[in-house]
Amino acid sequence: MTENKDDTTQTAPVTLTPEQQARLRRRNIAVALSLIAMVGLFFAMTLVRLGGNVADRTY
Amino acid sequence: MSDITYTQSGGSNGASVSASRKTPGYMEADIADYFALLKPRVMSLVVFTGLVGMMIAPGDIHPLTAFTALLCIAVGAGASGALNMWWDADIDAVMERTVNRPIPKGVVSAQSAAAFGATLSAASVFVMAALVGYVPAALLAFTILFYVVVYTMWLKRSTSQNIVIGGLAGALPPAIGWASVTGGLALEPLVLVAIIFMWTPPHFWALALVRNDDYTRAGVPMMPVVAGPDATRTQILFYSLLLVPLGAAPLVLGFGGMIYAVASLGLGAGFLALAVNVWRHRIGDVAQPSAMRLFGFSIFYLFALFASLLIERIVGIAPYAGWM
Repeated sequence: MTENKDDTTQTAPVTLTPEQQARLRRRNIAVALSLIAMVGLFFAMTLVRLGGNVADRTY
Repeated sequence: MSDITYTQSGGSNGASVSASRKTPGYMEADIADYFALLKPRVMSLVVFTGLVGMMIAPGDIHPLTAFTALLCIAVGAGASGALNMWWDADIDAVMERTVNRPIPKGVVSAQSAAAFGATLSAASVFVMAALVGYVPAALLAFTILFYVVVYTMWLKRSTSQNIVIGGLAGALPPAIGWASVTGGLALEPLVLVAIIFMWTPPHFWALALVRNDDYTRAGVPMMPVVAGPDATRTQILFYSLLLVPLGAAPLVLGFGGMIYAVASLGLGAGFLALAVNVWRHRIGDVAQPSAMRLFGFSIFYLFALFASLLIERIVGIAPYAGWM
């Protein structure tokens, strides 16, 4: 194998400090909670929109 | 040090080395930094004016639908702010007022801000369309596009009329709020849009007079940079003379009551007095404080005008309160 000297083809691991890990974790939790909240909002709004319309529907 | 590593690879041959390197600055970003991208102070005024547009509209809206509409307005406005910070990072980096924003500070990358803003923009419009209505969603999409593309990308760097025309984006939330209830538009929300539109030039130019060095250094063609402070003071007075009578239009049209009359006429007189003050004091130690006073008062003026409409609805003394 030939040694590759092109920086753009190298893989450089990035080591995070404990503080950076904590921030990354907080950001990930925030994204997860936002997605859960959006699902909850769609569920609640579906109930609001259906409301009595399901009971009142004609067959 | 952590044992967690993130690998960044490029190229096509998959070659890798195991040398570790310094973490990029954007790994430092906390939730607060992303929240700062949303320009929360601007967002709060936008949500408030949207709420008033919703409250003065005739008809009923379920509280959860109203909450969803306001959430979409807030997220859409915040997303516009993030996209604005992405595009204007070079300007923000040389201006004293904005140098501590997340991108120039190096804690959020420009690409992350762009992705964040684009995702939230799309999500806000989609949720508004799916859960509230197509008309408010279309207005929200127009507002975001107008602010990001027309104002930020085009007008801001090319004309001294940037904030005059671009002000339309910040003026539209009352129309979005109204459309969330009624599914359409009417004269009343358009009057509120016109009030904010006319309020924007004296508000921003008062700040631009104080921050003239900042804008000059950044090469932003704000009115004081292009036409000079004296011409700007005249323009501030001109727009204030248009704004104050327009502020009284809800009285004439019948959707502003007694509280609104006091707020619009009393505070309108104060606004005019401060604008005259800015126009008169062009040099010396009082020139900049005069402009800063007008800037501060303009925020209070707009807030009080819309708050009075809101209070009249809440206590049931609004001319249109019977609609609610």
